[in-house]
Amino acid sequence: MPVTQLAPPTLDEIVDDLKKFEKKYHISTVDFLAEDGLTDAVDDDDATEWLYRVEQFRMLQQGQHARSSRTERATSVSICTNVNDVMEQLAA
Amino acid sequence: MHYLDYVSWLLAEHGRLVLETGTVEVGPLHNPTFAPSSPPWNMDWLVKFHDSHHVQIKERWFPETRVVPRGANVGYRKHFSFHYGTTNPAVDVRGFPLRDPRNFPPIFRIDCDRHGPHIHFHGNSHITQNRVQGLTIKNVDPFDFMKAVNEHRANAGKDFDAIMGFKVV
Repeated sequence: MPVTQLAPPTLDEIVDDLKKFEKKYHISTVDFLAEDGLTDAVDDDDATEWLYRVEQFRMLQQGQHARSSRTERATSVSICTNVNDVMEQLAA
Repeated sequence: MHYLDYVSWLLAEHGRLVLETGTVEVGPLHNPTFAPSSPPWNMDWLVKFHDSHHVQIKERWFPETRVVPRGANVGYRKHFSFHYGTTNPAVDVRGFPLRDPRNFPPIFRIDCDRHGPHIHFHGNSHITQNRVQGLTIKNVDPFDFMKAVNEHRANAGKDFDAIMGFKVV
């Protein structure tokens, strides 16, 4: 199989993945991040993937914000820069 | 590293790699979060050998915000895992073996995850860098690992410490 580039994920897909981890481990993303992803209850590979999804989520949110500013859209999207912002965005 | 430089490197190294007959690959699959070229991005790659052994490669690249402005689109490899072992026949939707370290433990594995860089070797898990001499774990790339697996398989009995030049202390 050749080297292949996959299509970028959507924000909804990333949020779905975050929710799957929360459901699997019965831990919120916020609680997971509050322990720096080090909770023993979470498998190492899942922890890696969970942290990566959070980063994707954060960056996509920032991207949305930047596009929103450029086009002067009326609806602003908050920039997700820390744990509390992640929590608010997921809860929304 | 920039994403497009990473892809160029991946294509070149993969093109040079020689795999044994009967090997099946899934990937390497690289996946940017943004089109076309901003971090974070990831890479997943499965190499299945004919004898129920496989290599599974994962890399997770994050935005480099420590030394350059975010707009420079530079990424750094924060997490990775390079796994060689017997293959769980249960697979995910992509055909990658499901993780089952109890029943399918690694023969050799190099990780940089939430615990930092470490290796799994000779049945010992999480051998951290301070116990590994002669190898800087965080600098190992997927093709270093693949070449080591190829050499191990081609030379029965030659172990990974001899191939990669490290010693566990």
